[in-house]
Amino acid sequence: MSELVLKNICKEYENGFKAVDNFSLEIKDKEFLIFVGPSGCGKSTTLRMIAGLEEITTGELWIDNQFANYLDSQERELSMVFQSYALYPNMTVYDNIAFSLQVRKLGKQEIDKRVQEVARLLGLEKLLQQRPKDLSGGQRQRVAIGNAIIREPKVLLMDEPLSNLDAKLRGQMRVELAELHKRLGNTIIYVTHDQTEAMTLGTRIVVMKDGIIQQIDAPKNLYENPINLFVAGFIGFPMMNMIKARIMIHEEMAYSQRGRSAYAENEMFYVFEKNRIQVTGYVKEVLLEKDYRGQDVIIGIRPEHISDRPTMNATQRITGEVIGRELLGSEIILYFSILDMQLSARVEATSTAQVGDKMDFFLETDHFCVFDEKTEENLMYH
Amino acid sequence: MDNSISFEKLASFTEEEREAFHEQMKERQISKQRMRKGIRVVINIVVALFVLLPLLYAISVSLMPSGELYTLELNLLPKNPTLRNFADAIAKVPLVRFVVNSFLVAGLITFGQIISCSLAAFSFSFLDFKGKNALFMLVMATMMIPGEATIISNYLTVSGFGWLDSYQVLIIPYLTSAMGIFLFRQFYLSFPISLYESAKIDGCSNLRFIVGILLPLTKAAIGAMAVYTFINAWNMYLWPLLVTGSNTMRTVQIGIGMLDSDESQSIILMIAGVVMIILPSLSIFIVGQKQLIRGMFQGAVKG
Amino acid sequence: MKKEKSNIKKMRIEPYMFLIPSFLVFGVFLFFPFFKTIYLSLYKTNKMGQAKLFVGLDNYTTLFKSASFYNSLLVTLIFVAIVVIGSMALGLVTAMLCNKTFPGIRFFSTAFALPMAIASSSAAMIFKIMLHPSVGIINKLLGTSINWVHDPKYALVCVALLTAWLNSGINFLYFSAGLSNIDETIYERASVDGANGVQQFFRLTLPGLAPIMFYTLVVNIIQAFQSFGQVKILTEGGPGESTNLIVYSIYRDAFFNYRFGSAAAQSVILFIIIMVLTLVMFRIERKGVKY
Repeated sequence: MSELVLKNICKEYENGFKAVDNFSLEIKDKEFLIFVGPSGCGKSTTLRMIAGLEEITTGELWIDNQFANYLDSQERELSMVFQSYALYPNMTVYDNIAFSLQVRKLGKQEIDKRVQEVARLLGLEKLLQQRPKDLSGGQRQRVAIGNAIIREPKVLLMDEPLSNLDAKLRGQMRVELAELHKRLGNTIIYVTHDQTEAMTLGTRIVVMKDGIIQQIDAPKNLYENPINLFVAGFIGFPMMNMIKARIMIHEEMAYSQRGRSAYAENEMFYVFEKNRIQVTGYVKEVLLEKDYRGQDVIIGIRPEHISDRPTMNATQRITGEVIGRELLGSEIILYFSILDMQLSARVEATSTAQVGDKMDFFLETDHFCVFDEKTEENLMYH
Repeated sequence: MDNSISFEKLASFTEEEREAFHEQMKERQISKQRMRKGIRVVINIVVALFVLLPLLYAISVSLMPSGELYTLELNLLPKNPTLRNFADAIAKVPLVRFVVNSFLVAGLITFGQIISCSLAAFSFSFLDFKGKNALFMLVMATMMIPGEATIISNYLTVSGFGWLDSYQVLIIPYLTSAMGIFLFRQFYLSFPISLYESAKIDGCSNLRFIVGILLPLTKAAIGAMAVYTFINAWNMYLWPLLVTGSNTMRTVQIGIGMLDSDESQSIILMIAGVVMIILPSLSIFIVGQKQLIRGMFQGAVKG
Repeated sequence: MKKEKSNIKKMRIEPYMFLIPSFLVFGVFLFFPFFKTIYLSLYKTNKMGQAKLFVGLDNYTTLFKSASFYNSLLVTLIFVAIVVIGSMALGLVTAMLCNKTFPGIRFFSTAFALPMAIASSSAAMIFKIMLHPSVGIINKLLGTSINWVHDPKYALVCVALLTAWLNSGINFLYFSAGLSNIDETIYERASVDGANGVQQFFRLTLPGLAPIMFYTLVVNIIQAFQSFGQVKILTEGGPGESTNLIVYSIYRDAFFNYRFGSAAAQSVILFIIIMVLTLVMFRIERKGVKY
């Protein structure tokens, strides 16, 4: 079995607030698992329950096939990197890294060997005699990681470890962390509120909201096949475009255009204001089967699936007014409005569109996600 | 049953067995936590008894008829508690007068220190003038001069003034303190200078700024200072011992010594007196403790 | 033009006005007597304390030839050592006990801080009866019949422990403040790192208290040097001269023997000792405790 199993874990505070509700998860060996969600979603609480810093109200926690709900932190043999790093201010970098070995009373030489090794790995060789207050944010971060990995723990917990760094350093540390994971090959459980971090680092991602797991999936699946509106909106930047539309079928539409029959029988459309987008294939089958005729849905489409010119896939045209333009080097994000909706499209840097332009955009209908308007669930989730 | 149960084994349990297992583990955890808390409380009680022993014993003795004290048995608690010792002590020496004196002296010292220290601290933190740093260092340096090292000269000075055995001799030498100036200054420095500047622009005089704005904002520091100063003034010993001679001027700490004579009953009267004069300072301390801690350490932490 | 000038002048004087009350008191009752003490220490005085005959350092050389003075210094040092160690240990233990919340913590923290509200003279009177050879509770509890304050072996220790008890209250407050300043998460990290309570205490708590510990040490030493009331009431410097602390010795020389010159010289020495100790310790702090 896997090293870590969480089964129906709940955390309820004395005031009745449920921070984590029915959290179940098996964590496999060598995974880089991410808990992600907005602040207050219970991700850190879950991590702290695993570490033994927070009591588990109900449910079971298994570590190494051992019932661990009531084990003290000391007995769990996990490592953890804290958001604030929690470096010991009175100790040198050397002692900070060596601490967990020192309290286990390992031999001085053995400790020294391993500290040097870790210091080399993290580029801290020259700082070993410094104290935490003399270090930069990035260096402190490394010391905290050094302390966590020196024990070669099977499971390494990280609580928002990069959130105190500036953007540039964060990017750099992200790359280093990914490399570190490859090299050390241990299991990492990593908490973050930053979906970019989650997507770039994780082998598997747990998206949480209000204490409840929304979806557990690999980054690619999460991106392409979100289970509901929340996950769809939370993952990805710029955010997925959301378009409210009504499902209409030929019979109701047939004579709307000046009495002429414009559409073949039984054709299905998403309709929002004057725009009509034909629904075909699998999506149509699902919508028919679930009987969404005449009902409102929300269409989700990622900015990269909206183009400023027609292509093989991008066939459905809509017209909007450009309200913003962001150059991201090789590409441009165009923000445009249709009615009272604001959408964004990721287009090539050669685009000459300017703010205020009225222009056509083309949608790749194959990449639509369709959500029920009320339950917010993805009707296409598979 | 212990932690070493395996996942598979638990999975094979029936629902009831599983629940029973959870119950049992939870109970064990709760009792473990109770144990830890219990041990902490027990140790606290033991140490608190140790710390409070002198005080509790004094109260106990002050309630004993004198016959009960003079036995060779272990007599922790009075068997026939009586308040007679208090009445006797008050009859024997003018204790009420001493208490009034002490309240007067300690109260005026406290009041005076708060005024003089806040004025000086205001000047040191909001105003600019020549020699500011040097003068402030001088104030800080006075903390190093032990009061006992200057007591002889002070005695000679006040006797030269003809002040011996008066209220002013008990009060005036203590009307300021370096610690008070330091404490208030720490507080004032935590306010933005714009607070002062905008008051100035509004045409507020310095004195009105102190009274109207600064003092209300530093209630915590004033409270701490008041508790600390009052207790210290109430407990003064060496100085009143030197400069007061008559019953009309004695403070409680000196006056209580008059109960100490070779008569066999005197020792119990003395303790009754001690209990009576400890009460005011203890009550002020207990009431003002929170204030004292907040005021003293808020400033200290910021510094 | 004229008005403006007077305004500037007013601005210049005003800051000093606020200092006048404090500096008047400091001047008359601290600075002046401080120098007067030094001055007196160089003279022989009459019984009224008036300087009569300049003798240079005679008062000092006499002191340094006197066995009594050396005894007084030695006794004071032993006393200060016991008081400081005892009161800091008690303060630390009580602060640790009230570090985590538990039912009744408010009562206990008040109890542990309480000794700071008690006068040294009142405490001495209470101890006088507690240490009484025949009816005192200490002898009864220990099953001994020691004449504590009249036995040269015990008198100093008794006075010192009484003082340690008195001073422990404020140490409790200092250490409590120090403990609350230690970042809670380093204990969490230490638990995950596998450190047990004892290891956490010695490797995190004690070093974390170092800055406040240092400050407390300085304050405690200065305070211990100045103990007077308990000696006066409990032992009057005796038996023999076994509790003749320097402050008591100053008091006795000046107000019983009317040797104001010699007492002044001892005052100056007391001042120098305290000043040197303070400066040395601040020096050590700047070198040692860096964070």
